[in-house]
Amino acid sequence: MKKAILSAKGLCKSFAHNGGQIHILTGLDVDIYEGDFTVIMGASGSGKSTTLYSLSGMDRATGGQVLYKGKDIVKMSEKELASLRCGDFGFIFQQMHLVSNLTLFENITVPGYLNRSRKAADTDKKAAELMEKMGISHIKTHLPGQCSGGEQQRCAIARAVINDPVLLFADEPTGALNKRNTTEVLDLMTELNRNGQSILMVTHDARAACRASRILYIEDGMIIGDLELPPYDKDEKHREAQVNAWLASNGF
Amino acid sequence: MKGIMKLAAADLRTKKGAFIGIALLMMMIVVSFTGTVSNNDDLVKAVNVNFEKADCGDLLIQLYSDMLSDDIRDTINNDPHIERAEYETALMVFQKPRVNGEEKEVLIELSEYKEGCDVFNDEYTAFLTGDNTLHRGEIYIPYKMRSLMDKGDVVTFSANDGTEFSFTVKGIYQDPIFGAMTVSSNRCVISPEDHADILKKASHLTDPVRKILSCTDINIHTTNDYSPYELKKELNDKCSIIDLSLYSPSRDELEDNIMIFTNVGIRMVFVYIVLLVAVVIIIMVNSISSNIEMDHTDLGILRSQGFTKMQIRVMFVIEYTLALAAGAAIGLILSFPACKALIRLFMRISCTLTSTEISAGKCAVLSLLIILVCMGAVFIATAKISKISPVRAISGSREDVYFDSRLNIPVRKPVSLFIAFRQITSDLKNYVGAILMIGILVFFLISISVFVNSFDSDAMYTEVTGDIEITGPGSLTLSDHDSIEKTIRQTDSGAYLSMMSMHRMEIDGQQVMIRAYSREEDLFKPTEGRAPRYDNEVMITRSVSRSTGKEIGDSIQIKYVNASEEFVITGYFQTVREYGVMACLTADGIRKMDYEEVSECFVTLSDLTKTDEIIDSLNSTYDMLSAVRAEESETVGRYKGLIDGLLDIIGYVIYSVSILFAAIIVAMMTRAAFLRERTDIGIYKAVGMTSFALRLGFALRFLVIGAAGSLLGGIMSAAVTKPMLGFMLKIAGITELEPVSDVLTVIMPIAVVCAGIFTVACLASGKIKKVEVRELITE
Repeated sequence: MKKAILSAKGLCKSFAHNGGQIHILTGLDVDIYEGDFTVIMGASGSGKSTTLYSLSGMDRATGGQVLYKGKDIVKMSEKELASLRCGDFGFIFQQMHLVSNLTLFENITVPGYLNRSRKAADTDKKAAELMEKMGISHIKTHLPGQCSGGEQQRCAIARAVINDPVLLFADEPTGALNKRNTTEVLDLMTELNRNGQSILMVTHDARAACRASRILYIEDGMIIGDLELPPYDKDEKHREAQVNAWLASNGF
Repeated sequence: MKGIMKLAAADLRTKKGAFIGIALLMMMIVVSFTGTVSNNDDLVKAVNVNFEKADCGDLLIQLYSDMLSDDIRDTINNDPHIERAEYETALMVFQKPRVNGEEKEVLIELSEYKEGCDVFNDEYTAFLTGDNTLHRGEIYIPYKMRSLMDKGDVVTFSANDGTEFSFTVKGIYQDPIFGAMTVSSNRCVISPEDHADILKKASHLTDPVRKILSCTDINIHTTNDYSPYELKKELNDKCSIIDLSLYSPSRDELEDNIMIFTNVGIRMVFVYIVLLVAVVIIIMVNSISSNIEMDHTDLGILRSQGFTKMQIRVMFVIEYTLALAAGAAIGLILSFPACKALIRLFMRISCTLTSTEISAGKCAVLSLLIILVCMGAVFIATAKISKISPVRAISGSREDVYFDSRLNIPVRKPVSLFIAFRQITSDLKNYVGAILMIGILVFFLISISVFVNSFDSDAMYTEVTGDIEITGPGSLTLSDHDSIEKTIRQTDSGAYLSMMSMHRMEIDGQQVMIRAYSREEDLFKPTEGRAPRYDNEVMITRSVSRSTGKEIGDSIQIKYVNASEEFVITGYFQTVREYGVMACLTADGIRKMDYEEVSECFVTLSDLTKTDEIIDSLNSTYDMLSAVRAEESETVGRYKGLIDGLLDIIGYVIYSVSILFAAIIVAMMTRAAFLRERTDIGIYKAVGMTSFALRLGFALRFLVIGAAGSLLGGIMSAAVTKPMLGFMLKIAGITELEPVSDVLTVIMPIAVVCAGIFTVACLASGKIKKVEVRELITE
């Protein structure tokens, strides 16, 4: 029996626009399970990124609840959310969003320093290990502007996991990368998941979605498809075809 | 050109914060100098008109009428360099007049009423028209005495023979020559008939008690081929008139006396404006630099669309020129009330009614000059645009313009603090400008504090003091010291007597006020060397040192009437009296010059309960003196209060303007920083930093910049303040004012600036709360 680490019930999200309201999510229900590599897919404008950010508390939902460890994220104060972000949740953005005037090493360590339960020396050690693992230790003193997109995204992944998050959120992490870098980043995320890291990723790339153990398909702010997959094996021949067929059946 | 104008208009709309900031700074500069320049121009104009109306000559010599010998008259009347000389009698009342029966601590002089005397209306905003002629028993008092008596009050004093003279105050008049607060004379006007009556009862120098003395003002018009100073020397050589005179100021000196504060003020404001313009240029260069970095892609697009580098640079020049011109225009408009307020403020010191005209032409030219300088600076600052490659800019590369500092502070725990430092070091070029600007402001604030501290009104007015004041209606000399002190000590063994003697004498050819004190402790404190101890030693001001070319250890020749002695310079001292031209001798020293008349005499008691007993004892023992309880003269106290008040106002205004200036600069810098770092703020929030921590870091960063700027200002001030103030005061006529600085003078401006910057940065950082992590999301 899988254990849900995040549960959304009746999740709503609306935006004000030209004096009116645009309703993106209208009562979405979903559970995210521990150890899963969950992928949210959907067409552009379907509400997949909005779902990700509402679930993670990055963006405050306008209705419903998101329960994490028995607490409703929607009702959390800014301080509680900040604490969640530098502890239990990690984030990877499509545009990497590294702080431009910090070196790669510093970009990774800053969230670690914010974690009060960890000593600075431990953060440094962990950051060095992660950089080694991500293959970016040779450019630790480089500024983001001096690195390739792939290197930056690997740094962003290391930053996201520096505090050993319970759940790692990723918003189209390969969206801005070329094919080689995409594979590298997905391999790293698969490896993290294999080592027990729960991941919730948004993508519109079917190949990226193949890495998931569960795919949710969203249309008009509602989950219309939920596909369970066995753990990813790169030698598995029919996985991509299976995923493509399922996506096509959902209208992707 | 149309395209450039459209772009400039769009930029002005979207970046209005920065342009409003520049316009505000320019407005403050224009208001500052327009107010000051106009005030000065109006006063100069009024003083010139008043002096002409009063037919003031090039040299004015006042001496006791008893001293005015036929020889002196002949010398003056026959001097080829004198076009004409008028002799007028003034009456010096050597007693405290009673106002409505109550004694007032003020000494007055009486002049004859003349046609054209300017009498103020009740609001002191204009002169009364119509017949202002004074009749018997009426008196006009000068503007500076208006708080001592009012219209309708009765002023009474008596002559030696006991005759009482009473006058009713008819009004307040403007004394064009001796009316300023900075001139010690309080000259009232009475009718010619009363004047003639009092003159008949006036005492003579030979009288043991002198209650009213007649003086003669000799108003000399030269032939213009001789300076008043050359003439003074020549006349003194011929008949010792200057040695015998009470004072002998030239017309320039009289005018300077009235305008001394506006002269100092205008110089201070000019230095301040130069510094503020420098600050505006730095902030514009900073702002342009930030704009080019932030709008790098847009600028690349413009270049790809056919705009030349020069066209883009012209666009920047147009934008900033419009902001500066708008600020200048608003500043000129606001100058009208500012000028009026300033004129009313300075009228308390100059006691001269001036027009409230704005020197619009002069100030417009000055504004234009500042705008031109700024335009040049903008043009130079935009040179960076030439480096922008359209292709690289559009592809997002910022290498063309991005500055990567080699000096980077590592980020550690506590993160907020280290990030604050890091933001500075990684964008050092930008913040160096801010540090420089704050340094300039702090430097000026420290200089102003030092100036206000140094310009001590006590030093201007206070002489020796004590518990009992002894005045000598008769002649009191330094030789009487021991005898009088002995009498006092019979009642209070711990009491002592302080006497001060002063007169102008010639040192190496120039007239210098010489002072001598009966007690060494009452002497001016030397700033270098030591005070004179022996009868052949003298202490001088640096001004005297410079004009004579003599230094400590050198000898100078002092001449007075028939005496001529050599003295060795033992030290330097400072004073604002006599334009800083003064020297001090010992009591024995001045006796060697055949002069020992006492000007001021006080008794300091160890037992105040014996005050009355000693006063009685002195008055009964000595006929030639009058002992009374010492009180600070109301007039002097009021003058000191006014000057201190004015200095405080100047200080507060400059402080306020500087703080406002710093606030605008910091607001502009925080705004630019916020726009530049908006994404970074979102990222920091996304990784778990709270808005509070980010705000704290933001405010801390500017506090660090404020502290660094303050340090720079402190260093600049240590190196430049003293010579700068010395120079400014010297050209304003106040020489040898030794700048006095203490810890508070330095700490106060730094604390005020840092607190102001921190507050503005805290307020500006409020925008951080509004940054949502959501902004990082790419839909």
